Amino acid sequence: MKIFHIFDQKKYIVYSVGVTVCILIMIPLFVNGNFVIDLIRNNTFTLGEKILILISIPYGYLFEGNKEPIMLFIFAVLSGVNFSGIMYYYSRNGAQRVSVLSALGSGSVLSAFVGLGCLSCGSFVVAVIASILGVSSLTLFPYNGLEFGVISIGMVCISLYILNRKLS
Amino acid sequence: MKNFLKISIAISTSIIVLFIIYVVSQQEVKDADLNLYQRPVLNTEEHYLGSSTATIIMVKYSEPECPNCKKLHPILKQIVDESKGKVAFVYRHFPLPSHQKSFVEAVALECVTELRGEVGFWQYLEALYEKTPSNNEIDLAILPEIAVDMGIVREEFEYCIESDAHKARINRDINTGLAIGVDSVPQLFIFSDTSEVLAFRNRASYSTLNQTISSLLGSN
Repeated sequence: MKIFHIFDQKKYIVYSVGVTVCILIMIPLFVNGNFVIDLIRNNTFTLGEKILILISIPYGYLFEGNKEPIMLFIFAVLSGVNFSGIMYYYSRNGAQRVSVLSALGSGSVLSAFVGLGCLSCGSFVVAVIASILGVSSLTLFPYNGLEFGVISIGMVCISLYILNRKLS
Repeated sequence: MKNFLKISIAISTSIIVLFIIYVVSQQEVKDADLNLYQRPVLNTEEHYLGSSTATIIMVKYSEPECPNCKKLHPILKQIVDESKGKVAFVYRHFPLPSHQKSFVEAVALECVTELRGEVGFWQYLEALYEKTPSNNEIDLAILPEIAVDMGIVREEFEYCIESDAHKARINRDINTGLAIGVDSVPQLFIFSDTSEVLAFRNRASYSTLNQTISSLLGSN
């Protein structure tokens, strides 16, 4: 795998770890966006308490779940590698077009955001999609929304595959 | 590089805009119906665990067929148990249309309450969570079986299920949820004397709830 050679340069390890950590923190916060906004606006809590509560959101998501934390972790790591790969490719090839890669990477993030709600429990996005198609969310997503997690990981994998071929 | 930046900025902006639209729309619902966010009165009209004099009340809109409701249930019980009377947990029915069997289960829960009281309600709810595979896959034939296991006379239970006696009670819960923008389950609202209502419109982990409630108790 040619793509792993980019990690010979330490800065790409830093990019990769940075993006992974960002995704691991941001997606659970995004999923609980309403609570986060309420918390920030609330005057009852001190700044320290607010910070502790905010930290507990990704912590709880990652360490108190079943399948979803594993999928999120795989997705975050792959996205980190993908981001580093894209950065490396740009630095090596200058202005050559790699818009497909960036679109795939971003699309996978969007899909991951959608997939982390409880899709079988009337998630906002799924309810909209299901109502447009005139079917129930259970018909549309028989695996209770795990499909989005798989789609996200699949998109990053395709992006990594294309990137690897370009780098070879 | 310019293409990459343009696409990345466009997609990132779209995500942020969508997020802001969603949050603002939820906030509008909240602001418009602020008076509906009333602290529940802990009496026989509500299904609740914990002390009736608790300073913090967690209201959960839920149904038996939702897998995340099932996961949240023991977390809320644990928090109530650890709080030593300071926190109570109210269960409100919110059977989703996509889980048609959950309405029948809600009726069954009310029937058990009628026949065995509040203790029966919580026992039956836990039995349902234990036996259902979730997502509308429960075999409704087990509803009377669970009731019989609890010592309820099958005929009385079945008569109650077939009557319309409890539909109004369930619809009351649904309507209070709809009024404050509940559109999925589980949704959790935390009422305290010292703070505005805190709403978890998605899942809440033990860590987050425990940290939030500890802070609220600290400021009480």
